[in-house]
Amino acid sequence: MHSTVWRAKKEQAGGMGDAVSVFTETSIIESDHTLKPMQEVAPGLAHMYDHRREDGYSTGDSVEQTAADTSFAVIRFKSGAIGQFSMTDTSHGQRLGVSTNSGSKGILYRPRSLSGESPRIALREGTETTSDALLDLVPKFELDDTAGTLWNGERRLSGYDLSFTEIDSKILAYEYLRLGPVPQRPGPSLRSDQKKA
Amino acid sequence: MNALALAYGLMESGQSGRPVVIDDVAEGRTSSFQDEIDAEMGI
Repeated sequence: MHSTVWRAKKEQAGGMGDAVSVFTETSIIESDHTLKPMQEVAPGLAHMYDHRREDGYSTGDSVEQTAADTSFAVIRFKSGAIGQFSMTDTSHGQRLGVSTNSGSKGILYRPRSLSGESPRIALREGTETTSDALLDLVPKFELDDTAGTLWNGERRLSGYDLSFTEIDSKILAYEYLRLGPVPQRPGPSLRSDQKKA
Repeated sequence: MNALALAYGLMESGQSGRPVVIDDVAEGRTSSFQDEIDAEMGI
C-alpha cells in the first residue's frame, strides 16, 4: 500500500449505468497493510503523486483495511444484457485488465485504463477492426470541446501515444474542468507571525 | 445517480448476501452497507 489510504477505507472509497439488479460476493482478503513509500511500491505513480499525504498517517504505519478489496458480481441490465464484474487488489503478480462487451454480432475489447490504446472489435465471422478504422463505424463521434482542447485540438481519434504522466495529467484536467472545483478541507490556521499584514 | 446506485448496489449485495434491486439502493430502501458509513460520518 502507498499513500492513498482512503481507497482502503469503506467510509471514504466510493461509481456504472442502467442496471436493474446485482448480486455480489465481496470480501476483505488482506486486512493488514503497512504504509510504504510510493517510490518503493508504485514508482510509476510516484512521479505524479509522491507529494500526497493523508492526515493522520505516516510511512511505516499499520493500516487496517475495512473496505472490500475483492468483489465478484453479476449484473442484470434493463436492456436484458448480463454483466459480470470481477475486481480484486489481492491477485498479486498478474494484471488481467480484461474488459469486454459481448453482443449478438461480436465483441468489443476495451483498452487498458490510462493506456491511450485503441478499442478493438472482433466480429463473429472473424474480421477485426481497430485503430482509426473504428472511426468509419461511428461517423458522428467526436470529442467534446474540453477533451478536444486538452488533446491538442483533435476532435476524432481512436487512440493516442503519450506517456503515463501526460495521459494522467490530461484526464485529471478533464475531470476538474467537467466536475468543477473540489471542496477543500480547511487547512491549519496560520500563526499570528505567519499572517500577512 | 443510477451509476452510483449500481456501484453501491454491489456493496449492498455483498453485505446482505442477497441480490439487490438498483432502484431500492437509489431510494434508500436497501442501505445496510450505507448505514455503517452514515453512522461513521455522523449523518
